[in-house]
Amino acid sequence: MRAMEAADIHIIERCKKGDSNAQRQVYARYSSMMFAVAIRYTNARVDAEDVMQEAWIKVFRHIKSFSEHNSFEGWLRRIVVNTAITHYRRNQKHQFQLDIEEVHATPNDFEAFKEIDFTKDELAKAIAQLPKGYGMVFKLYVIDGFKHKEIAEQLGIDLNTSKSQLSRARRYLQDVLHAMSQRAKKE
Amino acid sequence: MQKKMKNEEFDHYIQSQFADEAITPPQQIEGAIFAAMAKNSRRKKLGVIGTGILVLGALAYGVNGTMNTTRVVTETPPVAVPVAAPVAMPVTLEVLDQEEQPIQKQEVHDDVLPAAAAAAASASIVLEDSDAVENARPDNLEAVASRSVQPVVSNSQELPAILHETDSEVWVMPATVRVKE
Repeated sequence: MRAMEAADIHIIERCKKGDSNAQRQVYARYSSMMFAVAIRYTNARVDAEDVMQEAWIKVFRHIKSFSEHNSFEGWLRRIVVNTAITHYRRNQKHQFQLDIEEVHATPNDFEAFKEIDFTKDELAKAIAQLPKGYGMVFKLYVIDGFKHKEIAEQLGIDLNTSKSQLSRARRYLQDVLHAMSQRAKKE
Repeated sequence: MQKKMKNEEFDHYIQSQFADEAITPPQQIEGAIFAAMAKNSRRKKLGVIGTGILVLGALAYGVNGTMNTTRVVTETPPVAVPVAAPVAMPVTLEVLDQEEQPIQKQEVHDDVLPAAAAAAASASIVLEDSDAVENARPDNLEAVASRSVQPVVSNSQELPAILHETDSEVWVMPATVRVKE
């Protein structure tokens, strides 16, 4: 995340005053990042568009609360992640516990991971294959740097559940990546 | 690459892969976002105008209410005063000093005593006949003021001091009155 520059601060100040040109400039600069995060959390373009729209409206509505001492990109990322979580919880409220039961722990109790020659797209596909509950915890913890306590609060789950789901997500991902690696070798 | 990787390293590797992720959103999203923003803005302005109207209405109502309340307050004291002050005292004066002003005592007695008896039961009687009470009040006060007898000051807080001054008599107001003949 880049540091706040004077130009950024000026644009944000204009956004705080409701300047729509400044809002469009901010949108143009950060919308790609926001959309990528939205897609990562929703795994569906249509849902990502909903999340994106909702997140941007929140951004402009609450931009007065943003302090220039913080990272603007980090603040935006948090908003889109939180919006995606809200969207997830709204849609998956009754399926979350099923996700936990769907996937059994892998027989291999790896602490380590052997194959990391994957492209970003391959990793994204592998992560997208994680069951939704696991995937959400994994993405929040590993990619967006949330703490287990925050994840537990955001998802409405127990702290230990968050930890165990992360552990299971890692194992699941190892298996997925291993399988992808095997297929690639055969081809 | 074939090597063992711990969880932290793996996490770091994944995180680095997604650090600069960017996917261009569809064009129509921008239009939808800013259309929604404009709609919210219009709604907000209407809300502000509506709130302003409500506040002004409430203020106008409040001012009107305050004026009404003030009028009521100004009317209230005359109702309360006759019940407290002159009611009991003319009785005392009448009994203590019949020779001095018999006519006035009689007038006071006629006007005020029924009100005094009734006031204990119901204040509404005083309200209904408030004009009469108000008219009677200055006369009573004049009559009281003309007296040289100490107990004319019927204020309940001053009464104990007065009772101390009259050594030979013990007054328990208003139930029992000892009359000097």
